[in-house]
Amino acid sequence: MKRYVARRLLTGLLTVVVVMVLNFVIIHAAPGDPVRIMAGMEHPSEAQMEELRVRFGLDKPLWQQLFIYMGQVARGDLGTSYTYNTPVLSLIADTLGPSALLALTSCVLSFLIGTLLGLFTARHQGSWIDSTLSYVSYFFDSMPPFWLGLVSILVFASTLHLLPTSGMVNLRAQNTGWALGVDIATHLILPCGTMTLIQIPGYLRLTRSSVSQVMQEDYITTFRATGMSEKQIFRKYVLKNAILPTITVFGISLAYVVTGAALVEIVFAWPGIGRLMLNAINRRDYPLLMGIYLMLSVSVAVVTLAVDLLYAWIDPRIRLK
Amino acid sequence: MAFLELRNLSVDYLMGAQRVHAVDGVSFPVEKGDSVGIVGESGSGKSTLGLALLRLLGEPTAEVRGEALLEGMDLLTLAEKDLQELRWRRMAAVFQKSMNALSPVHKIGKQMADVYRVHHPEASREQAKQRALETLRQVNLAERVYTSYPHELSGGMMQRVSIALSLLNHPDLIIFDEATTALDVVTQGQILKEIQYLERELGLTRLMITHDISVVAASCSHVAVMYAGRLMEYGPTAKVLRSPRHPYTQGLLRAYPSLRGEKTGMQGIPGALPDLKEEIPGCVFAPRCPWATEDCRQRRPEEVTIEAGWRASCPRAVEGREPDA
Amino acid sequence: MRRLTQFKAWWRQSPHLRIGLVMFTLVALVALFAPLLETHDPYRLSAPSRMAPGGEWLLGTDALGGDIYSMIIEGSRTSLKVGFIAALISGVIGVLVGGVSGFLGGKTDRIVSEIVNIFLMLPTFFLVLMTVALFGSSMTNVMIIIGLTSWPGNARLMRVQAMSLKERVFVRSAEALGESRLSILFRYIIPNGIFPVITNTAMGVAGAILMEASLSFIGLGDPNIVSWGQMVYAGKSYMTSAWWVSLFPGLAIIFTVMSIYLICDGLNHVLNPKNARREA
Repeated sequence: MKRYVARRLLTGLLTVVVVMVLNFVIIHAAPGDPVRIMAGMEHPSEAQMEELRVRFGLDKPLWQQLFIYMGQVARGDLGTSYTYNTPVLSLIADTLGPSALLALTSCVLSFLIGTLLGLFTARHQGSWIDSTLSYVSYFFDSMPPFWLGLVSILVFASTLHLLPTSGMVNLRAQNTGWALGVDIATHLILPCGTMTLIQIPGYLRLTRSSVSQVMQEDYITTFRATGMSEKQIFRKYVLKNAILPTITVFGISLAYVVTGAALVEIVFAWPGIGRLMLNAINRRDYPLLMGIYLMLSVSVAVVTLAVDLLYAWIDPRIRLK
Repeated sequence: MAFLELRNLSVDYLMGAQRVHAVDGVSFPVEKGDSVGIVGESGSGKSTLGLALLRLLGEPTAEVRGEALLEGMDLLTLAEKDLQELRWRRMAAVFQKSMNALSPVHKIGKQMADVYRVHHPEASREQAKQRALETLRQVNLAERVYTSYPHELSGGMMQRVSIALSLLNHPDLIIFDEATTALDVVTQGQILKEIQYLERELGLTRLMITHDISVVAASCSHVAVMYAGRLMEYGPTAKVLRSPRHPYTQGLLRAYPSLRGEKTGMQGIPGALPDLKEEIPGCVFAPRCPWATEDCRQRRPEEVTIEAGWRASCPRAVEGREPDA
Repeated sequence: MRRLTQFKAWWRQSPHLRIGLVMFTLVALVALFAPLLETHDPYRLSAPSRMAPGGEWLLGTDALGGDIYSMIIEGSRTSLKVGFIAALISGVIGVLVGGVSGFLGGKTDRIVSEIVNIFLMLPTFFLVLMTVALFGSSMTNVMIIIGLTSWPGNARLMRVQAMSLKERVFVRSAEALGESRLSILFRYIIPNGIFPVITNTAMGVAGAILMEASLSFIGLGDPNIVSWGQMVYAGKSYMTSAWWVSLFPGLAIIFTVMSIYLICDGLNHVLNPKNARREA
């Protein structure tokens, strides 16, 4: 177990290093002068260029520049966004709350709904509900999330006039306390519903196939032979064995959901990391863009690591290796 | 009437429009305390026979006919409720892949206690645990196995766990389905000895499904030889193995030279299993049998009794001699 | 001839494969005969702005006066091109890296598989996005960058195949006969182990189509080319007043991606030995 933890930690660390190197390489390989790219303009003033040269050690050999850059990142210095004139790290920190709220809510909802539907279809294999759900899940799986967001705006906001379609709070209302909570919740419904619908099919199909696989295992035959009721076999043994893979996927999706939600955030003007990213792209704010990529990669590495360790703790086959 | 009596037991697997005759009209008696080895190659229907007795064949794809009377009760037509009641208390099983015989993510002890309490719902956790530990001791396993997970044990140990599991609810009959196949010869030998010891102690009756004649020779009082779903020969192990009467049994034994002490090299039986999807009017072994006559191919051979409790499905069997090959 | 019978068996066996193939053939035919099907020039903005569907402009027009119907027909070419070229690049790299790594084993394999694991963990979309933003969003760049960032999955599959194949008798005997490692890799390992990679690459086609759409949606599409993603992007501000601008190209994306998913799932089903045995 110790070796396993050490190995996973090492991989996580390596990932972060690789991301830093990638960032560095992309900036230097891109057409154009890195100074101009980092300054965000074709003709930065002499003072700006000088500042950047010193900051990134641009007069030194390339490999030293890499180490300077990595050192800065390691100290938490991701540079300054020139469009906002604010440190990149604090810009990203401001978006984390809204992004995490949207991501986590949709992740948990889709996990619960998807797994329950999967269990249901697994118990009713071959029924018309099963095959209908199967095609519906393919349909949602093939859908670009941002498009579903647009369609939901069309349906719920402009046709039914039911729900707010942009932002996280009603700025004019100036709500506090309970009212603020309700306000955020109503704003959350459409973006969260979109993300949830997109993620349900994965859980549904995984759970369904996982259950059918477990049902064919030898130990299920053993329990049947002992006279244990199908209900007890399912609740006590099938469930725990079948649910393990879905928990892994849940963990993995936790790591990636912020990335996946970025475009949906844009559709609904959700004040999260996706919108920050869009602004960074539109204004070619590369320090911000690189900072976002780095932070997302780090968070993916951290969450994946946490999930792996949690999984090892649940599954004795890994724990005792 | 015998303790367990199979009468004309047949199993067809239904695959679309096709029917595979996996077991075809098998009858033999098992007396209390007997240990019967059911032996045959893969595809002989021996495992299907075992699963049919345990009623573990999927209903829509398998059609079971005939009777299997356990002290007069027909296992095949017993109501679901009575069947559940009878399982593991009267009839238990030890399956082939013991490594997969229990759930990998639950502790062995918890699973054993759960199985015990299926038929003793009134038992406390402690009582269930005590019973599980008792059976573990009976198969010479340490108490720590109770708190282990299946993958922490070796194949041999898991085999013992499977046997302990089968003993939990004091069954009269245990069906072993290729239970020792995956083990090394030494472990297999030890476990067979232990099984025989337990059997005498606890008054068990045993069906031993195996492809390995040496397992039958070492541990069974009777042997049923199956080929392509049909019973070829049935009788006391000592007699059948010493002077087999059915040409198939003779061929099968020639494939195991060590049993008879001859070092003349093994001889397989030429030919291959018939296609079980087809209706075979005559003897299923006729295409491979060196003495098959036109009659053998046309008409299903009658069972002939060689002496009380020893019979074979071949007209040549009464002649009582093994022709030189 | 034998292949044809095999195909017929698969066709019978999996409804997903059947439906997927029919859907995909439709998309491919549309792309092939696009000029014949288009009623207007998809690149000429001659119609009135935001006309509702029906009449001369079958599916309406966009804000700049493009004919949605003709643009969707034209977009099928873009999507299939992006999908196939990106998936091909990723497939070739994946097969080579995975094949070499699994076949050689040892230190090479350990290093390569660690790198593959790391790349599998990185959020690909952001990497693609950043690179496209920096290198420019021409169609060629988009295809190449998607291809260059999506090979690790293929490499992992190929590596597993190579590892099991190199223990097989026919590879062992080729080695014993003194055939060179390179020739073993290309003559035995890759041809025999490539099937799972092909299915995965087919999934990659769908992935690349979706990726292109996502890039277009944040304004990183090639402005000189008609693509479904850009059409959705162009219509997003008019969702409430001219819903058809975004709705129809989105449906086209779903139709195409779904056809590929169905084909892949169908293939996985018929190639799974468990299912094959049940049928036999």
